[in-house]
Amino acid sequence: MNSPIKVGEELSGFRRMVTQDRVTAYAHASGDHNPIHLDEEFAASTRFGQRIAHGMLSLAFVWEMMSINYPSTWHKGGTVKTRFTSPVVPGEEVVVGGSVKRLRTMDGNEFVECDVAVTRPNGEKALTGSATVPLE
Amino acid sequence: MDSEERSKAMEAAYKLLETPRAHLRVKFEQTDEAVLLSYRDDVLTGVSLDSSGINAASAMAVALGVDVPPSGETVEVLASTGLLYRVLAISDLDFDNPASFDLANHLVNEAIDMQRSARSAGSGSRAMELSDLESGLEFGPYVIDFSQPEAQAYLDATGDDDTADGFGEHVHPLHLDAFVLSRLIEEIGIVENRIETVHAGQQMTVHKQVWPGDLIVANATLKSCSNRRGSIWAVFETTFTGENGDRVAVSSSTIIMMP
Repeated sequence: MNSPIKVGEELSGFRRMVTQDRVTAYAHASGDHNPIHLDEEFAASTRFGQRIAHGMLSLAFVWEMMSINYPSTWHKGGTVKTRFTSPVVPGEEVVVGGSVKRLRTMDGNEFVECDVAVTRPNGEKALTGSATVPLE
Repeated sequence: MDSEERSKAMEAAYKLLETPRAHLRVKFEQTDEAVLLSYRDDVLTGVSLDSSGINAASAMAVALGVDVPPSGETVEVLASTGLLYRVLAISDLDFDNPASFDLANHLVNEAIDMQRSARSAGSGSRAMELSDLESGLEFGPYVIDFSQPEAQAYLDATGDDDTADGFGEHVHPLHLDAFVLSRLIEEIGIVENRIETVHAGQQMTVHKQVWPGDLIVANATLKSCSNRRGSIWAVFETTFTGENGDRVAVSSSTIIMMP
């Protein structure tokens, strides 16, 4: 029997290394060849001063975490709403985590709403937001 | 095709055409005996390789926007039900009757118009400047058809090697969204014109799993576009639709462009 979900409980998260190789592979796999992710010279001229990882890559980490925590329902009605608040720089290991914010009922269906985040080594949040998953 | 096969094909075709659809992936193939049009495992129509059948096959090919495939080969074509209706009608014509050529010509012209309007609504190269951006602008449709290796490559790139989430078997939903984003930034000229951008926010709701080989069509709309201190803030909303017209996912992307 599943243990009841409690507000405040931590999701099972993980750490993930973001290398330039991973960013480049992501660019090829997704088709997003924005030079800010790939072109060192161009990236140096931007406000970031260097190449940065795709925000969607950080979101993929959150997606993976939600899939692991709610494997049977995440793919059938899961919703994420996130802001990319700071860029992840290749070479950083990020921490992917979250916690249960509240349980709620919509149209007779029960949902878990979680706070989610991807945190850089310097403690800055690269991504913050919420993920909502149906319980059934 | 004998009469039983023709009857079965007609039944499959009628069933398929019952529901209007914008994009069906059909197969156009030439066997030793006939030129066939099929959808999944169902033959929809066929013409034999006699003089009338060859004329019909040629007209069908023009209507579909392809060449008649060589013997033993198959081409895949994306076609709407409206276009298919005309191709099926062409296949029923008796080209030994000269009047059929006029009818076929009329049907082919209609089909070509449908191909043209589908292309103009599609994802063709679009010369766009940032000043062209305005709320309500529509992008797509983008046809997405990931193979298993492509789905796996996306997964590998994210580092997701946990089989608990089932990816690798099905397509990662963010892969769909990332694909559309990549098309959008190309069409807006971000890559070509090397415009500095920030992906500021992302929302996505998934309704159904997508499998490698599934045909998904994405339509994006520029929901809002505003200029703030010289930067352009654009919010794109995208709807992902399956082959049966079922909604697979919806997403919203906030992009800041700093020209």
